[in-house]
Amino acid sequence: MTRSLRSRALRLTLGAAALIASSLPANAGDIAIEHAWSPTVASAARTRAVYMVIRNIGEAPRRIIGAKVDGFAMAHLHMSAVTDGVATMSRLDALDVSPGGSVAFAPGALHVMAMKPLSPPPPGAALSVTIEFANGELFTVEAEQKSMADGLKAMREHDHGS
Amino acid sequence: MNPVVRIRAGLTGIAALALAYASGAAAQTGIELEQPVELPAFTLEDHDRAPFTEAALQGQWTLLMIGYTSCPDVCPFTLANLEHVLAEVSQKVRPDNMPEVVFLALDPERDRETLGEYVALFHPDFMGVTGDRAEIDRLVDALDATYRFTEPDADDFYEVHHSSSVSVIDPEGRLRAKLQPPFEAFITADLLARLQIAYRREHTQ
Repeated sequence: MTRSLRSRALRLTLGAAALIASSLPANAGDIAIEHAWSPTVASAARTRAVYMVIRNIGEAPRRIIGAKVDGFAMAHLHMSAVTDGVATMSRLDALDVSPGGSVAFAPGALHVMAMKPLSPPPPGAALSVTIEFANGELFTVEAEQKSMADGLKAMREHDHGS
Repeated sequence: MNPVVRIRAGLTGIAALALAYASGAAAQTGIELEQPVELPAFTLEDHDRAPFTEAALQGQWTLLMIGYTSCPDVCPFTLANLEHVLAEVSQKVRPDNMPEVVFLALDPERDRETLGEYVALFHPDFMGVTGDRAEIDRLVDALDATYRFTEPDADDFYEVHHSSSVSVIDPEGRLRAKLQPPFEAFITADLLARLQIAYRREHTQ
């Protein structure tokens, strides 16, 4: 399915993921990628999800067109949704970030989905994730592995503190 | 505190009890069946390969979700939310009324090997179960749930689209309610505690 989402549509999840303090931002020019993390998985896991916040701190609209995750043959921008009570995922071909705006990748919604593991990182090791922009720029961040519960807890604590 | 609204569900004619989130905007619901639904006999196995049958649903409350271990986002999110729900429930009910959480894995060929490790990521007491397709389907159908495998790609990669609700099963092994995303912990725990109160009331009359 081909879809492009405006960052405004994701404002709801933005606050939730915005303050996971332990990961360092990747900051280059007009894009900042913060709080990248990936839930720990079973050893034979075939897929991984990666969450983060991508900020456009520049003056021009930016378009995210893809992702790569080291050790995996394939990674997509994915959106989880519940339609008529059924959980589904759909691939996004592009994601726009308006100037001064941001998009939050958060559990149950937008995520980078890594598939087809070739040489996935060992348990506990960070995942190296590259975000591709329409102008050809690539930004690579290290996504810390943490349990889904810990990741959600960090988001809740931020919610309650804001 | 939480407004309680009675609605009439159009699908099967069951009356539903919807719990609206206090803000109204972020709706969070559980649906309570007007009449408990008996579940059929089934033969599955748990993540230690021990038999898991309808008898395992007797004697305690059970929260049963369906999913698959290759599910990267929604299933881990739901299981982690259920862990948070249990923490809230523990503040509201006696220890012997704590529900058991069961993850029914829909893709046994891939799920069987990894199931125990997978559910333990979320809580040491969570139970994974799976089994033959016909037995999985018997239970899924009885829970009024559904799932569908997507077409595999050239690398045999596929997804499983599946019902997102969590079934609430009473200590007599009957379906009583469905929990729905986003499984907000306080409200979901409140619904479970009130289901238990209603259940005890039925049994003391």
